[in-house]
Amino acid sequence: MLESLGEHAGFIAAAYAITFVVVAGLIIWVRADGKAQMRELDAMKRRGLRRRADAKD
Amino acid sequence: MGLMDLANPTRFMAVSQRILPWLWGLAAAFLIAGLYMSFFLAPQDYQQGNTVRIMFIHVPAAWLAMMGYSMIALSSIGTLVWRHPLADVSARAAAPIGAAFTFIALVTGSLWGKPMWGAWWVWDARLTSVLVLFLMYLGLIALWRAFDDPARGARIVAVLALVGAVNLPIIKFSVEWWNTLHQPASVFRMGGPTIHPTILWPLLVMAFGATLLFLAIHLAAMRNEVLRRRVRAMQITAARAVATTGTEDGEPELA
Repeated sequence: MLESLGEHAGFIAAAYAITFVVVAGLIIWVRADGKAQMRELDAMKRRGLRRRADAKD
Repeated sequence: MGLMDLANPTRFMAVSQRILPWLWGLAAAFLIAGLYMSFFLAPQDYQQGNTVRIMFIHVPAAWLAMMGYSMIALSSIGTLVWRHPLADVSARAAAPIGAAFTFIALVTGSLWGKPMWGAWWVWDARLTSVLVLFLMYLGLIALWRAFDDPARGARIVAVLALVGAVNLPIIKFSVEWWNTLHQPASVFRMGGPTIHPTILWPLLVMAFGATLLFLAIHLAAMRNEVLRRRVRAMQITAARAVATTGTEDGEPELA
């Protein structure tokens, strides 16, 4: 596969690999951050803390 | 449901939760199709050979780098004019994503430039203005992080973001205003695209998929930012309760 990309295969492969790593990093970061915020929110709710908006319910 | 209803953070969280799985799925489908077209259907360029395949990631990344900053600029207007908290949330969520896509555009451009131009980097108008865009993203992120209270930082960052938006037309028209190594616009131009359809279609499919991916990450990051601000608000409420009741945990008073 890589050989079929010709003499500049290394440049093409590097461009796609770096893009993949950066995009995968973004997705992992955003999902991990979401889980961390949910954990924090759940922990506060378990301690009995409520938002003012929730307290009205 | 109008746009103003969506601007309510609670409503936004409910709607975005329903939209997000579809966005992730559509983005993945278009990117897989685009990658297949890029490597198995698109021919080599008659001058650039296989290196033209770098274009299928470089050009969408460059477009999204500018789209990300445009979103920040529009959100900044929302922050300054309507003082809507979701506007700042949107801007803040878009900054790291825009910076990442700008980084991809710079690196893939460099990897394309070396075999085609014989140089990793040249200080021409297009490349330099995109580097400035990347530095502006980093500056905005640093400035946001400098404020403990997001509401206080929002308006200051919004002003700086709007000033920085002057760079967007400079990036777009740099290849026309100055002599640069970078090629001029070949897709969005008067008279239509100059790229052959066998290369144009994979590019458009990749660009659409990458745009959906950007929007999915942005929506997820906005949800995280709303949650972060809720956590912060609850922590402040708890701290105030402790201060007024004198108890260390303050838990019973807040329950």
